[in-house]
Amino acid sequence: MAEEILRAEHISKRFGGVIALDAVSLSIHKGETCCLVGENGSGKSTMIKIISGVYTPDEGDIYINGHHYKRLTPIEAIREGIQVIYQDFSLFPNLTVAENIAINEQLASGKQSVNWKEIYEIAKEGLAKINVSLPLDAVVETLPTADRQLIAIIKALLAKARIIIMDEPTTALTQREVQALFRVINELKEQGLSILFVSHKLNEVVEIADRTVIFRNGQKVLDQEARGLDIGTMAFCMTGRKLDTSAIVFSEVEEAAAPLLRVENLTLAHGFFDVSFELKPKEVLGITGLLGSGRTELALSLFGVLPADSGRIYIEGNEAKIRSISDAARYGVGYVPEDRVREGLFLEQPIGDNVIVTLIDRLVTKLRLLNSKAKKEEADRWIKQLEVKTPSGELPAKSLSGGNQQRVVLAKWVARSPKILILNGPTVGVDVGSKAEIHELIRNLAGQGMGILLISDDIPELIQTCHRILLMRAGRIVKEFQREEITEQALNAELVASATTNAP
Amino acid sequence: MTIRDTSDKATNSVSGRVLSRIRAHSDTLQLFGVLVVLFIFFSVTEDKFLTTRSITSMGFQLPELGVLSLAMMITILTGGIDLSVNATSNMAAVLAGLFMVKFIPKEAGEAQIVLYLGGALLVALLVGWISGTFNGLLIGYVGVPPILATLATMTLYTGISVGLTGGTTVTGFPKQLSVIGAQTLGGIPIPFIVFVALTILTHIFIYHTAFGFKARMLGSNPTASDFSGVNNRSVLLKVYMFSGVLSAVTGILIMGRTMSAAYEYGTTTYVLLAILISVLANIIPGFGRILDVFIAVLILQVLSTGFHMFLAGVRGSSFFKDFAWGVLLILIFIANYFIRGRRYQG
Repeated sequence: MAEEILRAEHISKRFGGVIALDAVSLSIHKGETCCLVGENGSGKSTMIKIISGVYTPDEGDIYINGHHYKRLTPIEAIREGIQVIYQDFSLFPNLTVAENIAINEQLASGKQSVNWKEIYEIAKEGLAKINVSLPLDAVVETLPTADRQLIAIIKALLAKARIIIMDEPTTALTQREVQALFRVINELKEQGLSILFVSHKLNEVVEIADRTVIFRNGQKVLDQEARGLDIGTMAFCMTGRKLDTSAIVFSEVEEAAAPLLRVENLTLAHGFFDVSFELKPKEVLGITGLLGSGRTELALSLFGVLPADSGRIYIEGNEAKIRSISDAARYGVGYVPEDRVREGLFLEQPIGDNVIVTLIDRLVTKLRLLNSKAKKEEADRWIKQLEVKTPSGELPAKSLSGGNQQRVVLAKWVARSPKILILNGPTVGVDVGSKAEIHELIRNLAGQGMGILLISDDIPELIQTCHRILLMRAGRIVKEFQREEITEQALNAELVASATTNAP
Repeated sequence: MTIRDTSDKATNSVSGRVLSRIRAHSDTLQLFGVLVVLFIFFSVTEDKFLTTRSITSMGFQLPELGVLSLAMMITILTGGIDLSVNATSNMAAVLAGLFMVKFIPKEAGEAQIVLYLGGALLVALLVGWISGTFNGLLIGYVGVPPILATLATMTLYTGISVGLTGGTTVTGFPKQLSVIGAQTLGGIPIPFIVFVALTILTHIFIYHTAFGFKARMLGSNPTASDFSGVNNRSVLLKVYMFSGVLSAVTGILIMGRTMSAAYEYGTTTYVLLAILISVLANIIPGFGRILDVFIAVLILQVLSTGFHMFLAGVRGSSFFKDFAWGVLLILIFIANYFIRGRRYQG
């Protein structure tokens, strides 16, 4: 095995009464990609913060390049070549690519004047290091996430990084951009750098890892060569539960029944064109496609946020004019948004109030005053029904984990007993264990008679929940998969085909 | 970060919940403490402070600012602000005043005057409702940021009052009007009773109606309330209407106490004080306790009365009265920052 450049030994860290890490060891070798995997709250973020000097461990030792540290400061970590690329990249959005790349060196040189020639040289040198080209004069905020990530990587390299830690680097990337990132990672590896890749997307881990480390509840449960390690084993290690896809019970779609929702030639300029489909009771209909394929616009149109320009929508056979969210709610359409923090939740408000916000007009007494007893009963009922894990509905929604926050957003609409529920990326940023539970919840809701439109580009998710899947490309429905045709390979092939045809 | 993590964990435990309950009420206790300290301080240092006369006069004065603060706080609760509150009260008073001066016949009997008086009050409330509606339309439907919309309407409403009166003070109201502004009921000034009643009413509106619930949710996250099927526009419209009507009540109280109406009554100071009261009461979008606003109003009144008694003893003080009051207000902002800011950053 290659030379070990970082070793964290028997690290323990407590926050109040909670043990975040319990005597965990981690080592990173030269030129390897080590994947650190774990559910939310497993301690992986705490570990990153300890080896980058942000937190001081309560117990344990850190060895970097042979130097022993009991307490590591952020400055010492940087000096030892440890660079963390956080999800927000810490760039200056209003400066150009060249300025962002060169800024650290410029500041360090202590010069008072700006030497543009030098800035461009540094920037070009940086781009050459990972063999990519970016427009040097472009303002960073106008660039896609993937390009901003590359800039952050280049900055890390110019700061003489030896270990680059990437915290959930693929969260906001498309399939194609993920592949581009992996090429860069492999390039870095060849140059002798080490990568600590933190993620809970297991298919990516399988693809990129040389070695896989899995944390669960503050303990290390697996640390081995990635070769031969499959997704099932990893998922089991992460959650401590066996995920069995074969035992999934799908609800029986009422094929004979009249469609709950029928969409005819729906069109929205710059969104989607001539979209027609039907949704039956108890059916989960998947809508997939890449970002920009029009899938989100279609969902927002059906929910009244972006009313369609032409075409018709029928709900239970009657034409529905959906021009606003209140219209959609009146017709019995619910929507669980993709960005739950911005669009779905009132983070500071009590969990219970988050749930009943869609019902509030019904929870009044004869005097039109709020019925606080009914309010509490409804809130508690839905919190229980959707198994939101919280000691009290009075705590703020921000106290919940991602998966439980998503349940609250679901509860909010399920409480109104909608006929049609649109779910846009229902498990984005949710860990594997909660993901499976949310999938089961979706199947159960369909079983109760609801029609569900599930918008997602997460292929395993589509497979585990959908009866039928529509594939969108450039605003049009281009393919329909029946239940028996749905396989990972078939979906993947079509999505990749979309990627190449969409390419500029 | 470390501190934040532990406190989040703590709220999940039972003892944590009890603690956070106490913390939730500690704002009120703290404000009450400040009130008591200031009251005792001025009672000791100023001989005239703790007299029936000064207490009653405070009871007559503070409801104006108090009702105006309620009008301000409900807009802040939704993430907005209403800078036009004082301009609205003056416009409402001026129009109601002109109504009385123009229409009450000289030979009118007692009953007739009372009838006209009722009409004048309705005029004032209607003016407040219309100006609030205009603010609400600008903010909710046109999408003008509240601070700009109400800054513009503040100028507009003041302009209307100036235009209607030619910049003069409207006087010559029937003496029955003073019932509202200068008389007591069982020893308690009537304006104070009105203030207490409106405080309770506002509390019920904000915490015990679906409308108030939506307004608070909207303040917390307008995008999420929109996506939850709340009609943001209509909620904002109603909030500013409510604010306009409360402002008009302030106008009526001022008119009843001074027996006059003018475009310039309380300008700038009242708006600033109303904002200051919301800051002291820690009103933030989505959250706020109406009781805290009530106590903050009492604090400001005690401070103002005590301060003016103190200055009255200083020779030539009238020259730097505004200056000193300004300095004092800034000191309150700073003190509040250190007491509150510290705690919330932790």
